[in-house]
Order: sequence, then C-alpha cells, then structure tokens
Amino acid sequence: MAPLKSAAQRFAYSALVLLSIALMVIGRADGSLIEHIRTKTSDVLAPVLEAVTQPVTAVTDAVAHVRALTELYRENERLKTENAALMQWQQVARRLDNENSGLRALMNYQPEGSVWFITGRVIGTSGGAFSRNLLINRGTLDSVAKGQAVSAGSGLVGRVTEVGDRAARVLMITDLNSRIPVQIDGNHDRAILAGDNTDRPQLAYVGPHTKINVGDRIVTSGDGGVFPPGMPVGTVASVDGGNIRVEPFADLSRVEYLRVVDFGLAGVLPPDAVPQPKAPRRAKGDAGKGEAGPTP
Amino acid sequence: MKAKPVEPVDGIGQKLVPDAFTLVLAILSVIPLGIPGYAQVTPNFVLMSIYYWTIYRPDHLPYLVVFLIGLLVDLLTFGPAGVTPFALLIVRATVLSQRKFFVGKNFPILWWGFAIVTAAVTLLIWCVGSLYSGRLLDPRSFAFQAVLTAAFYPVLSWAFSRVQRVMTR
Repeated sequence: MAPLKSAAQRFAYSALVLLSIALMVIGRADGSLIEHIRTKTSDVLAPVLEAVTQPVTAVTDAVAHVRALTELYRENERLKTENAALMQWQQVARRLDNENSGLRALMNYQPEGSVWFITGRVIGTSGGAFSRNLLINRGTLDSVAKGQAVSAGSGLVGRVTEVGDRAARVLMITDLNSRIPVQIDGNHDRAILAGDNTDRPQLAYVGPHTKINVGDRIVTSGDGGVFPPGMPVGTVASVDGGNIRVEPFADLSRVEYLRVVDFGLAGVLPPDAVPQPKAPRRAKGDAGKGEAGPTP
Repeated sequence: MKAKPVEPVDGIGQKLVPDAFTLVLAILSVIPLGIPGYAQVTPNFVLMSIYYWTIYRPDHLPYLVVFLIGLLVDLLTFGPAGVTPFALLIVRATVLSQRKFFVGKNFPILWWGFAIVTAAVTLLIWCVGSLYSGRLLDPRSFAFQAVLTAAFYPVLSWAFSRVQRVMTR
C-alpha cells in the first residue's frame, strides 16, 4: 500500500508542477482566460473579504478618530489659514468660470460627457511585491466598468482593469504595467507616467526640450481617451538626469475608500468596439493585464 | 463494528485543520490593514503554514491542496498565475525529503530551516516573476518581505503548535 501511495503522490506532484508551469505559459500567452478565472474568484470571495475587512476598517477608523481628537486645535488653526487662502481661490475660480462660460458660448463649444462617480471600499491589496493593485467592493452591479478612472482624495490612484459583478480590480499608477499619458501642468509638455512597483512612478518619454523642475505639477493629458485632461496626478519629486520621479498626490500606501469616476468618455466608443491591433497600447495607458480587451 | 462511530468524522475534521488554516491565512494576507506599505511586504503566511504542516502533518496537507491554495494566492494578489503554486509545491517536496532531519529538532534549528526555505523561495519567485514580466523586478521589496516572513515565523509556529496540541488530544 505504501509504495503505491508514494507513487501516486509522486505522480500528483509532477502533474501539479507541470500544471503550474502550464498556467504560467497560458497566462503569459493569453491573459483573458486567467483574467476570467481571476474575476470569478474575486467575485465569489468579495463578500468574505468585505466581511473580514469590516472590523479592520472599524479599528483603523477608531484610531484615526482618536488621533484626530488630539490634534483638533492645531487642525482647526491650519484649516482657518487654508480656508482664507481658498476663499481667494474661490474668487479666482468664479471669475474664471464666468469667463470660461462666456468664451464657450462664443465658440459654440460642446461640453464633455457628464461625470458620474461611486465610492468603494478597498477589500483587498496585492499582498506581495509583484504588483500594485487593489480590490474594491464595487462591480458591474454598481455600474463600474473597465477603464474607469479611480481617484482618492486629491489625486489619481489608477484605473479599473478587471471588473466582476461585486468586485473590481484597480491597477495603481505605481504598478509595473501602468502607463498613463500625462502632461506638465502649465506648459502642456507631454510624457508618459510609467509605474515600476516603487512608490514613485517614473516620467518617461519626455520631449528633448522639455524643462522639468522639482515641484512641477503633473496632470493627465487626456491622450488616448482613458482619462479626461487635467486630472491631478502628482508632483515631480526628483530629477536625476533622465530619471524623473513623481510623487503621487494620493497616499497610495494606505487607501481605504476610493472614488470610481466615469467621465462619460466610454460613451463615445464602447469598451470593446476598438479592434485591438489598432489600439496603441502605450499611448492608451493600457498594458499588461488589459490585454484581453482595450480600454476605451 | 459499532465501536466509536464518531471517530472517522473526527479524523476527517482533524485532517482538514491544516488545509483550513492555510486557506484562512491565504485570505488574511490580502486584507488591507491600513499600515503604510504593508501590502508590498506582507509576510508570506501561507509559506509558514505549509512549512510547519509538512514537517508535522505531511499527510494532512496534500499536494493538491498546496496547489489550489497557491493558485488562490496568485489570483487574489494579481500575481502571475502559476508562480506561487510552483514555488509552494517545490517547498513541500523539498521539506518532505528533509523531514527526518527536522522532526524532533529544537525550535532554533526549525527556524533556521525556515529562513533558508524563505530565502530560496523568495529568490525563486523573484527569478520566475522577472522572467515572466520580462524585466528585473525591484529586489528590495522581495528581500524585505523575506525578512519579515522569517521574523514572523515563531509567532505562527507557536499558534500552529497550540492547534496541533488540541488536535491530537
């Protein structure tokens, strides 16, 4: 009995190792099958993950609450100063808004699609050094779709790359596979923000005559039609020859709640209407995991 | 014939304990804890579980379960599918072949063994991952994750041994 059992075990071992290798090869060659299984798994486990994260969120919220209480006075002072500054900006914004609408009327400008958003909670993180992504508790049932932008607080977090009924996967801008068309705020010089699994993504494909300084604001350029132009992304943190690093506005190391935003850009072309060969992957900010179907 | 009809159920229940433990750890390792940077360096709890149970209860954690849990980890963490089950299967086979050496040894030796396994697995996953994505992945977070994994082993090992004691009572 024993030798038979060990032979069976050896067979199981070899078969499963081969199966693992086969999975790697299949995943590399055609991501759509693995993506399908992944989406289904996330969907099934979403309620479990949601239930488990609930107490964790409660505890972190409570800690944040206590910390906020102790800093109430200083926070109040800071907010008063900030408010004073913002009031001035409000005046500027109102004036510009008026001017803008006046000019738009003059130009007979067609306004962009309506903005819709939904807030989701992070129920899973990448849990490893491989990739930078998040699982959120919103899916197609909440009208979340592939390609939608995801932001937290003051900046872009990433975009939806996989979506199931109840859960969606967000590829963060720091991920190895993330490529976002951006521009330097103010001078409109274009570049690509390329993640490499570090906290500060790299600014790549910068034009030869572009001058970039530490502290420059980086916003989306709107190229490729994935994100609308002007979404805040981050500031230039370091310029070291050709190695330009961007510090994201959003605190990507601990996001709890995210906003999935649909700018109506998908309304022009449905997600799968663009044939893949014609879709330049880099320019669309679409790479790696999005191989199954180009994002709008 | 009718003696102790409850025992088989108990046996199955006991058999499932290592599997269930490993599964729960796999799910727990993707839970966001709100600690900055934690997601990238989460200790590899599944590896700890597989190392421990392979030494103490290899019959209760078969290859198929190791494969399925490894695959689940890959699917949940968005890593390249197949890499984790591949690494974990090799870990189980290697530890199993060295099991006679480990059984009955005192804890520092087991811990040392785990540290070596962790280093080897991390190197393997890093190599396969780099090969898979076609570029060298940043080794720092992998190294840091390996250190954290080795450092956390005593805690989990203690928890497993408590569970095992209850199991065998």
